[in-house]
Amino acid sequence: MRETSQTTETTETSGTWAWRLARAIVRCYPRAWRTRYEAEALDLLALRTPTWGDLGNLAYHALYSWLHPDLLADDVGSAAGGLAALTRLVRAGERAIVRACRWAARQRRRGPRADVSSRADPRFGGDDPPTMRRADDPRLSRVVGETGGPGRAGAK
Amino acid sequence: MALTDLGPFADAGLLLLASLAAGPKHGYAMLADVEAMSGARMGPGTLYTTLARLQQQGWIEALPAEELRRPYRLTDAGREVLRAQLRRLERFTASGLARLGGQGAAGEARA
Repeated sequence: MRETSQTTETTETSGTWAWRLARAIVRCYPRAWRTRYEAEALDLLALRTPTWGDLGNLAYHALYSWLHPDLLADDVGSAAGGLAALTRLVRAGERAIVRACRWAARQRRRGPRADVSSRADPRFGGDDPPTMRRADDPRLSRVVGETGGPGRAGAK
Repeated sequence: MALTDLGPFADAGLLLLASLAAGPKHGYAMLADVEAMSGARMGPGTLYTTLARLQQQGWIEALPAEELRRPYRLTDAGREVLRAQLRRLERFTASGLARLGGQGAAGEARA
């Protein structure tokens, strides 16, 4: 039988920012997964410096584990826990969408921002090429005309 | 019962089964072995998801943990699945190489 311990030439990386970030991602896995794999996964991550690819891979599989509770279905309560977590995830997404809609509605009620014309970006009538000034841009001048915003077109 | 039952983890499953064919290993040793064998760096997330799938299928089993490291070993069913898959790959490889060889001969004849 082959020797199972092959870690003599590894580098201890626990305590580095990459390892701490990896540990944070591991803590996002479902409880059933953590019960079974957390200790050995953290040990593995301490032996091999996690790359950005590893961190992305961990994050992807954390999501996969939540969305596939059957992965550890033989663990008691795993499937029910996964379903509850999925419900929480959906509700959190719903709340985020509602908040984003409310924020967009508030922004719309406030109208265009007063400092838009002071931006240097030519698209906003900045100081760059005259041909790109707001007064010359049919799309932007129409908006200014409709909203009565503080355009520079009149000042010029 | 075939490796394709693992769906998107069939390739990773093949690599892990091939690694365990040499004897029980824990996660880190499997990753190092897979990298040495295939040149592919397997992510830790892929490793544990695939291990869970392989355990579910009964193709590998966990041994008692040594401190924090839990070794896994191939079961008889896993060994059969691996053998069948490698034979399929062998036929596929032989067929592909024969076609390449045939094309090469035809090209040389035309020249």
